[in-house]
Amino acid sequence: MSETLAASAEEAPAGYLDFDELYRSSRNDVYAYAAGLLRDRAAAEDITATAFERAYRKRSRFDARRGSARAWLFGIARNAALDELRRRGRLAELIGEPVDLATSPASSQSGEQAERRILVAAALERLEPRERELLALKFFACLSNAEIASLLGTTESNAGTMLHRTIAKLREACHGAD
Amino acid sequence: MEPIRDERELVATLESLRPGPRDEFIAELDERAGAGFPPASRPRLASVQRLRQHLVARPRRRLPAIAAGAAVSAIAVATAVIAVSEGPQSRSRTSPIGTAPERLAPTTPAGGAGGVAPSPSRAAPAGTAAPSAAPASGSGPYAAQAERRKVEHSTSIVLEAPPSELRADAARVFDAVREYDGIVLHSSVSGGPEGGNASFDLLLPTARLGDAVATLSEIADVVSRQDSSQDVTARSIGLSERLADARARVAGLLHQLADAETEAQRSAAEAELHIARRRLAAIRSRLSALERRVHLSSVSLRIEGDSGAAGSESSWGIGDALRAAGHVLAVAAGVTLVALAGVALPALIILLLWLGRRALVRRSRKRALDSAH
Repeated sequence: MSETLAASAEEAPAGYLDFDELYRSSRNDVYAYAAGLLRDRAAAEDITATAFERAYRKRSRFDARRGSARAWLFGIARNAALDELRRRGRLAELIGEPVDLATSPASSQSGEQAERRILVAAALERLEPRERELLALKFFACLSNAEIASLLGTTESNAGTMLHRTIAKLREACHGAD
Repeated sequence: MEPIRDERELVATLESLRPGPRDEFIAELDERAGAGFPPASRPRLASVQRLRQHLVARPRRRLPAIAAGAAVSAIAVATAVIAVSEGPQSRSRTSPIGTAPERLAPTTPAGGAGGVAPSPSRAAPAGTAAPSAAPASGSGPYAAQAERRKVEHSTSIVLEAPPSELRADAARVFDAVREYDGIVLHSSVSGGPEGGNASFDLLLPTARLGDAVATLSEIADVVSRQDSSQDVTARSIGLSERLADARARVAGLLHQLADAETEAQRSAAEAELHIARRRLAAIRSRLSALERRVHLSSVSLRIEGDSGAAGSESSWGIGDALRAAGHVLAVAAGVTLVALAGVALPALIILLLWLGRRALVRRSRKRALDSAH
């Protein structure tokens, strides 16, 4: 896979992004973001594939002056995810395989850690979708504040403020559940 | 259970909740990525998808250049076709007046009384309706009156010829006037090897004016031509009515004279009769002059001897080249404007629809996040 993509990158004129590198470094992050937002494994897989397909087709249009390649990619992924949510809004039921974050495997966890995971996962469910998305972008997709700001169309400081508030709200939700 | 004590612990727990993809999915996605995300499995869409990918993969800035090139080519072709079909506009040797009767007589439909006959009609009496092969432009309620209208015409023509041909051209003018039973009121020819001119004041039968002017226009290169006309029907009718009144007045006075019983009555009747007859003669004279102007159109012809004038059609000078270039540029500008006008509105509509759709999609994506569970 990497040879084909590398070859096409070599043939591409100067200014094209290194799609191979972007794919390798962001694949799992895009999935994690989509799954965190949609809470549906099958939908998250579709969104991930769709996002990379679209990014591959539009790779010649990437303009580094507008932002980083990851922000550009996540912009495409976000639109794909929101289109999925729009589609769901027209359907009566959620179809697919729900993702239970609390049961996602952790490499090693003590009983206390497992309890904390359950607590935080339950608190996440009580957040608004926008707040959940913000946390997904930051902690699942591992985007920087600047990249999140670029994606949401706001300033970096505003993005940082929103994140701080959301984390505080999550903490309260965890205390409230307790 | 202890609550989460600090933010670091919360963030660490949050990060541990990060969902990971299935291995099977990763393998499948890697394979597709390695193949360059091939199109859908249905074979008949493959070529369309490949074409689409090829087009999308091109840098965007090439597409406007390609579109501009196509537009310029189309404009160039249209300009060439129009320019060739129109030909040079100046120095027309034949512009028969008869083919544009509407220009001559705005108040007279084609073939109207006293108007220009679009085709030779030697048998038609001058000043009356000439049988016209061309369809009458008037088809309204006044079309039936067209034959009774009276119109004065006058034409002014300027021709250009080499000085050496001036006298021969002047002779051809005389021949043409004779051919159409016209009258040369005044003529003068002057000039030498370097230049000169000839001028003529002509009277030509109105019924054959078109053909006569066409023949005169063929003698040399036409530099300019002016046609004018004036409808004198009202004046003619007025004069005719006054003539009838004057005749009736004379007739009445003659009766009065015959019935006079005294010398005084006779003298008075004779005096009035004298005045009435003079008035009758004057009206008759004015009407005759009007009728003559209607039946015979005045043509002013001037031939200018110009050493630069083309003696034969094959010579071509810088002036001709500049005129032709100007003509081509004018046509190209016209074609471009028309093309832009034709394209601008649909393009604007498409642009507005596209912008509207983008705004709608953007808004519905925002709403989708808010309404998600």
